[in-house]
Amino acid sequence: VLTVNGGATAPEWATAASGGMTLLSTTTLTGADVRIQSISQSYINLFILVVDATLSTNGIPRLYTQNDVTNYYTEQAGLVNATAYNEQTAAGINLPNNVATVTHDYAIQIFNYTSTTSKTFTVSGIAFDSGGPKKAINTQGGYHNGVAITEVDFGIDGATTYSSGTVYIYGVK
Amino acid sequence: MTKPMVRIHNTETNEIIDREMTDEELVNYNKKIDLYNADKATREAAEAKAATDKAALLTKLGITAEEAALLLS
Repeated sequence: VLTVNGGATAPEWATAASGGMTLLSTTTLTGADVRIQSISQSYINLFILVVDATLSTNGIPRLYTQNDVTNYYTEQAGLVNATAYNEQTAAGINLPNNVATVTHDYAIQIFNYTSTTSKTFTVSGIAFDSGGPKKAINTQGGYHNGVAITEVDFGIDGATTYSSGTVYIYGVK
Repeated sequence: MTKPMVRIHNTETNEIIDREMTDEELVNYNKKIDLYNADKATREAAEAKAATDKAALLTKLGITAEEAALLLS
């Protein structure tokens, strides 16, 4: 933010006390599992953008925290090729189902991620092919395992790998 | 047999390591997949049973799904 100090001759830039977003990391998706670790604990929420992700074969991208297998509870709802879609799972956080070559993008928010009790999150995602599958999915849920989140993991539901995609993690005050 | 590849990105140091999963990581990776597939199978079985039960009830009542929807609207 731009501030004016009474004794200064010109306005000065200062770090915003709240409301600011800081880019913490940029990671390219590759392989069967991408673990982004040592996330700063200096923010209130995490905002994560996943851009232009594709898989090598059909599969469902999945989000985890702390490389943990359980302790999630999520509901996913939306449209898949104009048909209503709904799914619940306790096994990680679903990202939009995807046909391998269709690019998919997500905006993920993890609230109060430094909490040692429950953390809530939302995911808005889309997989879109103008001549093929179209999927728009919202996921909401929580994660409860008694530790702060220092790691987010982008996994897959089976024997496939990420071909492309970039993950941007922002800290939000 | 080669193990799946994992990318580790340390955001503090910005160090990125690409390597095969360790035995421990592979166990965890397979657990995630197995749990998800078990979850999915349970859900699909419940959905299939609900569809079968619904069809049986419609037959018992002697009405179509469209007629049932009309009754409930």
